[in-house]
Amino acid sequence: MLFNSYRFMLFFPVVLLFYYVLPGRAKKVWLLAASYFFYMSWNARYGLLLLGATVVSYCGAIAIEKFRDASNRRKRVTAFVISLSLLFLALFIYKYLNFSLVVIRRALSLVRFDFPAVKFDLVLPVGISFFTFQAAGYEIDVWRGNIKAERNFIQYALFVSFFPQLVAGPVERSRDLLSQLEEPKPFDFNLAKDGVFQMLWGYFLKMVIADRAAIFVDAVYNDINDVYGMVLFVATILFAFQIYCDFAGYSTIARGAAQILGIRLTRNFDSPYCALSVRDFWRRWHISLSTWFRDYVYIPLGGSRCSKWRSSLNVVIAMAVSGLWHGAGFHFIAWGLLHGVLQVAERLTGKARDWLPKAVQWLLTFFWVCIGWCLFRAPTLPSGLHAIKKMVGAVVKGRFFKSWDLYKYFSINDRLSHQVFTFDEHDMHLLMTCIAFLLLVDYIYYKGISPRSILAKQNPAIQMLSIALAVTFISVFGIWGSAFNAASFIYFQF
Amino acid sequence: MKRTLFRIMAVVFTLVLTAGMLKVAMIAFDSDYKGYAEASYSFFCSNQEYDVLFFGSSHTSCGIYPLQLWKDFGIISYNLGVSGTLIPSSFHVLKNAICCHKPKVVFLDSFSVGSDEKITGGYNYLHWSFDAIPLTYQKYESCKDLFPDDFQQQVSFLLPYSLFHNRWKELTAEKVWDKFFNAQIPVSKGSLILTNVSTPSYFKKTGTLLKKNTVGMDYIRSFISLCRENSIIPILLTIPYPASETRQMEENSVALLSKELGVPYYNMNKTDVIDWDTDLQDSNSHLNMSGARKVTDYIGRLLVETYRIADHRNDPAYVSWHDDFQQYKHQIFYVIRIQTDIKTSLMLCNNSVYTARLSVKDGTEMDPVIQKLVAQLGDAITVETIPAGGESNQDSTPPACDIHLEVYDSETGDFVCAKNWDFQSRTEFVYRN
Repeated sequence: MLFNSYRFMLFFPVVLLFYYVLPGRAKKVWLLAASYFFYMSWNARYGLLLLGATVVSYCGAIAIEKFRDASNRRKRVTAFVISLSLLFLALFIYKYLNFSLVVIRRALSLVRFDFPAVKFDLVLPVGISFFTFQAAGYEIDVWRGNIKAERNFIQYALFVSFFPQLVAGPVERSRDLLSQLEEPKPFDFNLAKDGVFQMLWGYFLKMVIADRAAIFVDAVYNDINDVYGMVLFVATILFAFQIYCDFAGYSTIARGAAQILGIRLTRNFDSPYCALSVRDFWRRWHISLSTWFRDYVYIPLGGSRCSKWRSSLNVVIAMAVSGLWHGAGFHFIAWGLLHGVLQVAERLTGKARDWLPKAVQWLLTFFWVCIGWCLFRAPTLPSGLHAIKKMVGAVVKGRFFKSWDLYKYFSINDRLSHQVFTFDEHDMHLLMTCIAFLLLVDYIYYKGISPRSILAKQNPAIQMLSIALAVTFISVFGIWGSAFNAASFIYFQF
Repeated sequence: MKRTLFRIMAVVFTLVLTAGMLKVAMIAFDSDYKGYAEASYSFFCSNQEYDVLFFGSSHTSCGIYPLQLWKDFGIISYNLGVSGTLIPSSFHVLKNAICCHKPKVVFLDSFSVGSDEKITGGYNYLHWSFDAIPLTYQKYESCKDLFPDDFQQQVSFLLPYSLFHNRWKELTAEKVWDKFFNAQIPVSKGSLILTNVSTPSYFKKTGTLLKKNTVGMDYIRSFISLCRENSIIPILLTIPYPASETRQMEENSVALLSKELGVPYYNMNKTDVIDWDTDLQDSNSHLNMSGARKVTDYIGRLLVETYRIADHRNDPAYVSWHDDFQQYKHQIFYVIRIQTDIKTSLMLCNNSVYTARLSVKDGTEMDPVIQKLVAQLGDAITVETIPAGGESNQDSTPPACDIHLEVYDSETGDFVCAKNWDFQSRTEFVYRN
């Protein structure tokens, strides 16, 4: 179930109520059952996949720790390799098998070998990338000796399946989350209140901004060849905020929900569009994943403890793998490579960049991030490159459009429900206002001030009013429920 | 302890404040396009009981006037017909209606019985009837039956706010103000007045039946069963309209079905109740006010003579209906005041609330329809022919006008409106303000 679904609105309060009513040990069992119920609401069979990943990593970590002494090194390595391989095998099959076959086919076609065009009909299980990486990170930490293997299966299973962060992160580290799950905390009113504020902020990002921007972005990107370059340009900028708000919204709701349960999750986004360089951007964007790649890919490759060129190569490799994590497609790899190359370029031109005014640094960073988003959003690499060419061409030639040209892309048909979700001038104005507000809040955070902390110190009446207003605002302006088409509701029309 | 109590109160207060704000938002964003829903609200919210209920599509809502039944026969009734409503939807409206008020007799118009759909496309029509129904378990069951595979639609009917919150784009401060402070619930008891005179379409007569059983017919069976379970007398009806051959096949099948179920069926297409030249709103569907009044009169006589429905005109429990009728009369007065078309104006005069005077300049030709419209008014209209160039006996006739109509309140004799037209051709008269 999605966080912004009716089912979750019923599910979460029930989970919460029983969690705080049940005694200590039963809390973990209850949360585990709730987490599996949450995951299996998508597809009951996915529960087996999750259980499989849990059992493999649980047993693997215990075996790695058991064979810790030097005489059992071979067994230790075998246990590590097999358990990690099994973990990633499921991810490979569901996410990368078809893509791998395409790559093999294309590679073999270069040597004129005709590989059959095989494609498996596989539906990607929700969140598989997240819980696989979370479990893998745990195993690697045990291998490195950073933590002890968890012997309590219930606790470990809960670590892998904890529902707030199961399907969209943050990718939690075992040292942070496992210890919190060991001792369930009693209800903390202030923590819960802060959790509510976070959840409301998350719903605002997701439902008011992200889902609204998606209407326009989807309409334009489904029609790349026929739209004007300037329209693509606007859609790409909106996509930058769509993906940020969608992802950050979900993560924030996850953090808020976990916090209400007394568990603190990693902050996943830290004002990424205030970054003054691509390197800075990646310190602020999907922090849990970028630190995972830093700790488990970049550093094992050598990190920065090698020659400049090798270190730069490590960055590019890590970013390419990160791109591949996001999706099985050449455009995702290209997106990752682009960010890798940009970071290397920044390393090489670091001192020269520092001379630029901050506004220019910001603009350059945002520009390159948007170019990357164009590749990310496009359905294929060629269409992504074509879109970039169109956009840049339009901007360079100054081909601005009249405002009403923009709005002909503003409706998409939802064939399933026969409804038309429209996007008009009002939506654009609302979106611009909300994005401006978001950037303001992010900038305040960037300056080290927490608006949430300020709000928490206000008079209780103001806090209560804020919550009521936030809920009402999201319910009015959020994209939820059925699409309303005024034309079909004209009074007394036969 | 004190702190805990304070926190509990703070949470409760926050929930109450949030619920209050959401309620305000629900009212503010609620549909302006309710149409019939607004009219049906007074049925679902009132404490009064009704002897007769009417169900069906726009044929019903435009074809039967409960307040005329009240005035002429003292019958307490409500028109729950809604545009675009198919038989299954009517069944569910009945199911929800009898949770509030159990009548003695219900009429179901059989239009669209040949359909296998439960709802017409573009679910707005169903909102017009369902939004008035309070949120109950029965409403939930009805939504589940009408949208078995569409949870989103079920929610939009159980919680209309999930749909109407999107109206923020079109709301103005004035509209919101009116919602809260100038809301007017129509007093017409669910009926609608149509104001046009149209030429009918003509179709060949046929006696064939539908080739198969339909979902519509199944739900007629369910409708009848439900009535019988609740000791309500069900009556099937076809309100007059120019029926195509397909529609006639539906009527023939309903006639057979009514025999199967032992239920009376009145196919008014086979009667002379209405005049096809004067009583149609459009060429193939709805009755105008004149036609609806004739149908209402027919039904009223049927209810009194056959089903012995009581006359409540002197019943203290229904005193408010006299006031409702007065308000309804003023609405009708407004309708005729704004008309500029001669046929519509004459058609609207076919109402016991009016008397009229018509002054026609000698030599002014009127087409047969206009002549019929005048003739059907009978004693309620005084017709005067003014010699060309001469003066009228009436003080109010401007000498240059070819046709002059004056309308008066038949009860009080008060002046309602006057209208003037100039002759262009037999069928064309230019309105003069």
